Amino acid sequence: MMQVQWGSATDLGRVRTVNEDSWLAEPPVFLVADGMGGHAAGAMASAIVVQEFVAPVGATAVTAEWVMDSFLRSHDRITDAGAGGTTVAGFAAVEQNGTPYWLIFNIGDSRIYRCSQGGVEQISVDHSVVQELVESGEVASDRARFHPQRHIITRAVGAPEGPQPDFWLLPVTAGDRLMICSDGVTSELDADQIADLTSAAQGTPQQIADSLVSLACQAGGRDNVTVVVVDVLLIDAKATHDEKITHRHRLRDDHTLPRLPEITLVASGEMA
Amino acid sequence: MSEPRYEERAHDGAKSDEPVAGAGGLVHYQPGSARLAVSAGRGVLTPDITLAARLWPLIARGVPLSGLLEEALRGGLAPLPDLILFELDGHALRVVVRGALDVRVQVAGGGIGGCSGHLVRTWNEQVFEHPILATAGEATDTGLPLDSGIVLASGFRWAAPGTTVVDQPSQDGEIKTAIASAVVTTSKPAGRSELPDTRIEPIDDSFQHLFESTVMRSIEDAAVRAPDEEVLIIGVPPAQVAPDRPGDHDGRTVMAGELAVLLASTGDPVPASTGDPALASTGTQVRPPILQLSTGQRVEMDRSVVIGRRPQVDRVSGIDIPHLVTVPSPQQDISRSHLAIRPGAMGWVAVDLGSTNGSVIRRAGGESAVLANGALLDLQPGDTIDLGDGVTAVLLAPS
Repeated sequence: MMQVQWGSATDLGRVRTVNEDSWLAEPPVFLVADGMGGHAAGAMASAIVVQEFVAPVGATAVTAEWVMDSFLRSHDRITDAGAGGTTVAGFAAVEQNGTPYWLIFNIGDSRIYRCSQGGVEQISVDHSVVQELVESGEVASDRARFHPQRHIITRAVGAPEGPQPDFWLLPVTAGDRLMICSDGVTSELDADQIADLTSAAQGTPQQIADSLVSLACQAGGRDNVTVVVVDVLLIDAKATHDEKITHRHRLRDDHTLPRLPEITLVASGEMA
Repeated sequence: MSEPRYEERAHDGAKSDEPVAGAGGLVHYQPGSARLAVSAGRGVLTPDITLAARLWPLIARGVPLSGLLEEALRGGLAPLPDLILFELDGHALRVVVRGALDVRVQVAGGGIGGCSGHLVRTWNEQVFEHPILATAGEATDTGLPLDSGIVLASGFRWAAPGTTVVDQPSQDGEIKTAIASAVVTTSKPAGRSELPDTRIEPIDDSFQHLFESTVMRSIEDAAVRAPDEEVLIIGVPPAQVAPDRPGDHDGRTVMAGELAVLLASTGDPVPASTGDPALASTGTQVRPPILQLSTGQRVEMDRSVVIGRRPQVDRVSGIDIPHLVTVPSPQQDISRSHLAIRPGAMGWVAVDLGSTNGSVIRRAGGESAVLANGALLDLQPGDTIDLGDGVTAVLLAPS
């Protein structure tokens, strides 16, 4: 059992006439889907994903197989409907041998960030031409959001080669905050602004989501903007080891300690 | 006379106040079924609708001809369609021509030249100094003027500013052009004169999503070629270069692994996994071995396993997600992701994941082996792994 608090916000932005973003915030599944392919097609594609990723009634966790199956069902419905394509970025609560985990998944250029102990890190890796340019060193990462080809993505649900999402499995940690956003945020705000807003100590997840959307629109709002924020308040792990150890691991700096060599006392009193 | 044009880069944080090179002169196009995309002295004429739509945003932004050609070559040489790329740069006109197209250029001093893609396997590139007139495809003197945009065209003509074009059929049937002394004013871009604004919105509504919207590309399309790879493609006849065509992939083939898992499922939210390596290699139904831990945990080895104090998985594809086994380590002896056990071709393999203190494998026969520093060791049923802090794991043969 874990206790989470979440918030979500979306905006058409200042330029587009249709909001093709969809999002889902229903535990155990949270995601953002940014549709593409022309007005109705993009909105339809992202809406299909949201429908397919709603967990079975009463489920407090899902499995990796169920998530992959949801991708395949979404892909089939989207291609049958000729409904363009969509990114999908999100996470679902799963269990690994009794330990609660977030199964994080991403396909496309929407993003998942984690804020842990005040530090914000980007978890997902964009599937985009510009990301490949950044990885090959041709484009500096802080210039990526100005690149003329920043809107060209290399994987999507609805693409002919089938869905090929990336996955992460991260242990659920009390005090963590996870944030999902469509590229309407990342193309308007730089990494520092995103980190500052996401890690704001005062602010409910709803307030964080609202502020990210609002600032992205003020900065230009050239695309639809959608944000989902989830705070983990506490966990009650059904772990095989006792609660105290889990708690201590969460609070301390989490390094493995090297084993020390044993010191043997020699009979005459010298140390070997 | 040509005025410098100041273009606001609406989509970048950085604005450019520099004059755009090559401005001046006016393009007239002949309506047709190919696509012509033009802006500020640069453009493309091609029958390939998709390519024109891909290049238009770059042309509108002033990407130079080399960048346009690079974009057109993203899928490799073979899918490159017939095209004419042109760029006015100061006093020169540069063209790239591929396929059954040609450009005819008249230069100052009366010389007439041309560039054609007919006989070459790649493309022809040529530079014309001090051009006065250039025509391509079907271009007559009754074309429609175009300042900037993407239109359906079968040809175009460009005339240098301050020239008028008079077609005079010669006795040989060759069309010659003469420069009239009267000056037709083109100092203002069309659309601000009495001519109607000819900037044309994309006729096909499905283009709209390509302008500043997210565009999906196949993996092959988006493959970033190293500079030396591109040099290799240039000058190599298409027969030797066979890039995958994006449409040739059967999506289901790629997903065979996941599909197999799905087919084995009953459609429940928790389908049975069939990632069993024994099944894969022998084709018969073999139960997977069990990993029994001293903590009391039992793991069915139907896929890879990662053991640690706080294991996690970073960026894998769907079929590779392992079981994660969390073990207690009060002395913080065991690393967060300490070791993995993976199916290999000949059985199981134990892999150290860069753990601080490593592990020891005790064989059924009595020997021991240290597993540390990212090493791999085979693992047989009956072997015991000691991870430290009193945690051990035994691989048990299927019962």
